[in-house]
Amino acid sequence: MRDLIDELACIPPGSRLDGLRALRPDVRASLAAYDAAIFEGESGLTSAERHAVARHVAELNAEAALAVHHQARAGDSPRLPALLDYATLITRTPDQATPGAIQALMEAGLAPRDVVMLGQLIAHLNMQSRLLAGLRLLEEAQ
Amino acid sequence: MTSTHDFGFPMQSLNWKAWAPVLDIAKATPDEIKVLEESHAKAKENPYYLLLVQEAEVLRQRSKLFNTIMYGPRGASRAERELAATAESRLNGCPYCASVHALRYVQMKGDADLMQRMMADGVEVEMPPRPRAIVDFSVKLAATPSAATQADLQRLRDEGMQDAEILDIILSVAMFANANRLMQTLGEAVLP
Repeated sequence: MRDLIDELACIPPGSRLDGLRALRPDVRASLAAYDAAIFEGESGLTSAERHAVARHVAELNAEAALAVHHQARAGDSPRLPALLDYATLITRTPDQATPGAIQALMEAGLAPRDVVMLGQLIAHLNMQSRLLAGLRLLEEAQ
Repeated sequence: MTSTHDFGFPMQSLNWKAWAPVLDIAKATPDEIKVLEESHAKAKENPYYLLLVQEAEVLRQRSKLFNTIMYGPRGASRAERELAATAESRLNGCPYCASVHALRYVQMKGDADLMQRMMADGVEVEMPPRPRAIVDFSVKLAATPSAATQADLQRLRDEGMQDAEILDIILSVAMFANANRLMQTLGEAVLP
């Protein structure tokens, strides 16, 4: 069962790393379901906004293939600059987050559940980025 | 990085306060209750879960992922997954995550003295070579962008770690890149 991570990390079917990942099938299944819930769920954040934020977080993490994965569905919106600034704050300096940053999002029109969706999306991309980086190291070390 | 709070990184149970409105549990749907119960034994009383459950399906899937990464069959020992998670949380400056996982590391038969010193003084404290290799790899993989190298991975192999164990450490670090960012940006830890 090949997934997005295998595709982005260039892990061929039947390879050593594919076999290693296959020891934890629940991880592959959960990663895919989490990704689907974030990008395909109905939300106050548009699909274009979600993919644009995702692309940005991937770029901050220097994960080019992951950024490209979101490129086609990324789009602009009047509040996108505010969403991207927030994504930069959370990605680079999570210890500098404040209640004021959340307040600013809500003033830009996000409902509490949209703040949650945005947070989950940013957290998810940061997770995928480190997983990809780690898998590449394991792959190179063969 | 330091904690956003002035109480440091205590090795005790902390509470958590949300920075956005949370679900009123009295108004929860049956599905929201189910997701809370699937997520954590005490989720129904915890503002963190009451906040996140407002996107219930996302929380449902995230909880499954978290539980399988941290508690699923080994790979790495649970103690070593917790060590990686705590080191990253300490570095990222998330007192809530760090406290929960420091306590769990000790519960899983980790080195209590090492953990007390790491929580008090940070990830650079003196420690034996195997935890040192795990902590160094974890904090470098946790950086933005990731800074872990082949040399860092080799040190894990030099300590006798097999690839399945190393993958579990990678998964733990990845999961806590997620967990820290939710915990320390959607609210804050508070002393009980």
